[in-house]
Amino acid sequence: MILITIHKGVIRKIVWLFWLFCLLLFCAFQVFSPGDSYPSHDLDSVTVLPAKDSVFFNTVYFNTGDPDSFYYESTVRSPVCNDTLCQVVLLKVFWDLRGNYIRFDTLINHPLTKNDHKPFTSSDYRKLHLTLRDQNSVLGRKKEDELIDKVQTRYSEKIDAVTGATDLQIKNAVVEGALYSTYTLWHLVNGGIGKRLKGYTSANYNLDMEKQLMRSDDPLAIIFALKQWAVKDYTDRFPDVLKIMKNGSPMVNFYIAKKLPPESLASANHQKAIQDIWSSLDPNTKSILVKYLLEE
Amino acid sequence: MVCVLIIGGWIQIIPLQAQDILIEAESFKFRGGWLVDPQFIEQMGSSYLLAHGLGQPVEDARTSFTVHKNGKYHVWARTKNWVPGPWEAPGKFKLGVNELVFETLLGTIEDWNWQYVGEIKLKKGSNQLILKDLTGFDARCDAIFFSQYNTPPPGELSTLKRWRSTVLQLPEDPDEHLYFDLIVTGGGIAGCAAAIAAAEQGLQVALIHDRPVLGGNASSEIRVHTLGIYGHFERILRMLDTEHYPNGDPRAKQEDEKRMANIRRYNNIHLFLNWRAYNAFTEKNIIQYVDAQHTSTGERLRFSGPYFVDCTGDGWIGYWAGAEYSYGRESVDTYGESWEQHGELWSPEEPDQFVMGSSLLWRSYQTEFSSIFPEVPWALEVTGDFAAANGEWQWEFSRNDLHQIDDGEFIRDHMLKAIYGSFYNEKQKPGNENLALEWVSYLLGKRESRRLVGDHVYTFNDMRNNVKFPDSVVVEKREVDVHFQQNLLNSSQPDFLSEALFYQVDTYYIPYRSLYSKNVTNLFMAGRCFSCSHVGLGGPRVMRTTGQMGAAVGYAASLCKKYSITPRELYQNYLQEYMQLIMSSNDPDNNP
Repeated sequence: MILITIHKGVIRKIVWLFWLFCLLLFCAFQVFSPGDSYPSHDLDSVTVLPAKDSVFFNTVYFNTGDPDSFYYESTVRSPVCNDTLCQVVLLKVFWDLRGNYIRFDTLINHPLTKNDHKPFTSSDYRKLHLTLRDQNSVLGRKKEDELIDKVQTRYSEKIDAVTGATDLQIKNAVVEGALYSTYTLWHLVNGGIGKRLKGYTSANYNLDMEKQLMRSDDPLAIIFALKQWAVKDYTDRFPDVLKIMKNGSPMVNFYIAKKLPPESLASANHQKAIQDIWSSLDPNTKSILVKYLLEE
Repeated sequence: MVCVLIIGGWIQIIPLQAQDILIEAESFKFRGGWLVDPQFIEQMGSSYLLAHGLGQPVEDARTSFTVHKNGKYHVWARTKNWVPGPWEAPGKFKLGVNELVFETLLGTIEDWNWQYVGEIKLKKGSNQLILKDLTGFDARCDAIFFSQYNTPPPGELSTLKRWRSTVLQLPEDPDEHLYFDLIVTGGGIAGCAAAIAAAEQGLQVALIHDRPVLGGNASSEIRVHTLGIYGHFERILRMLDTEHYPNGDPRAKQEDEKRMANIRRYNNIHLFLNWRAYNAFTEKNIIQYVDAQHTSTGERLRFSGPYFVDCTGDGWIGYWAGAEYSYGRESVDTYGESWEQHGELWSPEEPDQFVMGSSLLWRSYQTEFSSIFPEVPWALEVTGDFAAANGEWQWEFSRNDLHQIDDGEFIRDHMLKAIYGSFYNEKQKPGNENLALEWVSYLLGKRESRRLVGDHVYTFNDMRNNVKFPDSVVVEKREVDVHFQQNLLNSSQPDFLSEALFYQVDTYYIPYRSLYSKNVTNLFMAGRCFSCSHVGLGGPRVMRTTGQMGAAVGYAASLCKKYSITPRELYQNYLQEYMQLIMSSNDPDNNP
């Protein structure tokens, strides 16, 4: 029995070495494959995004071609492994000025595939996109080894965010048949890269960037732009403040209300301007502003 | 006889006669389907009766009262229209005296006040009083007053309080004084665990709770399941916790029974159910006693002892005792609690009052017969066309301008509107003819309010850095989760739904120094009012974790008594012995 056990162990090692060898060959092929076209226009190299276990190092570029539309991009390669198989996924990924994932493109001849090697359907791509876009996804708080047992063995419960993730949440978050691909890509595009890209934006911040951020539908993008302001900007740029507040989300307006220095509302004109938009403001914003208006 | 009240420098004289009669609604002998609601005493002055019939009028409440003098009496009821607006008041009721049912529709005035009912001739002797609910939509009645003078009782709260004491001839202090080694206020999981741990070490413990069942948010009245790990106190916490059923599940009733049976096994836990503390008197930063009042009968008791535990959730004992406390979201720089990914949603640049909100859980079910749910125009203002058949933890309400304690009744009522309106919309869908409301809580399940300040303020950094303290008495692995209202990011969402942000952490530890007050010498705290920041509360606010806090405090109290020392001195001088006691909690020897 002991001999058999040892024998099995040796065989297992050989199988694993074989797979590793195949993986390296495959990686080498991918690295030098025609799909890997290096960008050539208006791109600044920003940072390197290491993929799983540092098998690949993907360069992230800042696209400066259009001052109305800055973004970051990278042709991302990453191995995705489940218990028995490894494959390499290849995608072009885009991030916004805050380092948030925007979207991905597949590359010609490199469709994403599931565990059973069937290619992703259009709804699978859509699902992947939505999951990658969800920064608060359950995938962000799960370790890789926590995925499979829970999905397979525990009965599904109703969603329970007080608990954190339940099994149903994981199932709902991933592309069916592509658990590890979804998981790996989520961590790749939403991991530490966001903070680095945001830092790059802050370090190279300019008015074109501000314009772009202020046009966003995402309240957190507008707040990011506002965070670049000095306190006196809220007074000096009061017409801009008003414009943002007229169109702003409750969260943006609440942020502005807390940041507004009392002197920015000191003049009668500014008081009136706030009163004119008062009915459109949310209760949280009003609860802050009312103090200034009453003081007047 | 007159009642002289000084209001703002003016003297108001309210005539009182021996034949004036004040009847507290909550003291009715037979309450029928009306429920006693003591949640908002500090804000509106009293427990009251609530006709929480989910849209079906509840059974009458009845009582008798004695009249000492024949004659004509004016009658008032203290009530309120809880949804004033361009519609009929949802919570209407009538008052009956003997055979007469007054035509006046009650529950139709804004804000708590005395609504005139009418005039009636009463004969000396016993008379009958009836509250007749008309709608099942949460009519409320605080008290009924009969007087031969046509002068309503005072409406202003502090004046009313003094007037009430005079009319009811309440003594300044409670007549009955009780002494215990440890007085625990609040019978949630933390309070029960504190009581058990202390009782097992031989202390005589008073456990004061303002509900008929134990468990707080885990009880069948609120029905949140317990989360977190057991830490060092598995044996104790298994007596108190719940299975991981969905929130709102009726199996919470079985857990109530388990919990109550386990607490009753301890002869030295003296249980005071339906008693609500209303005062804590402090001398030289030492609490001398806590006063409590029965939520129905109005009887009062004084609890004295060397040590007190605040497990009220809202930090009431600390608040009354003058303990330092915090409320709201600190600025991100106060404790350095930023999380880049979620920025302002996680910890704001500027401080505010936008704490995590309170929930009302609810359920509906398919019945055998079709039914009609009444129209609720007063609720649709809140819900719009939003439809739902059940409510989970996301049914949560918070706003920067609403205080989770001071505005508690408004928050509860807003959630009731959200539930009734959403259910009404759901009911209109084809196929839902047989759908009916099964259960709607009327008790707020709170997440966050006052946090008493201890020698250590527990923060996000303690969790994400996995800081081990020499006095780590609580251990937890659960994610840090902090909630925000969905309509912050998407203004088209209803204002009563929240979302959770999760920060994954490894094991983290809470020190004993976060479990006693910084400035009130003999006060412990356990539960969500422990010493922490807003984000610091995000992880440990669930009930197995707060139960761990309770057990740790119960053991601490036993050693404090043994050496006649303060909670702080226990940390300074007897930490080793204390930690040994904590680590031995699961030993069979500790199980009496």
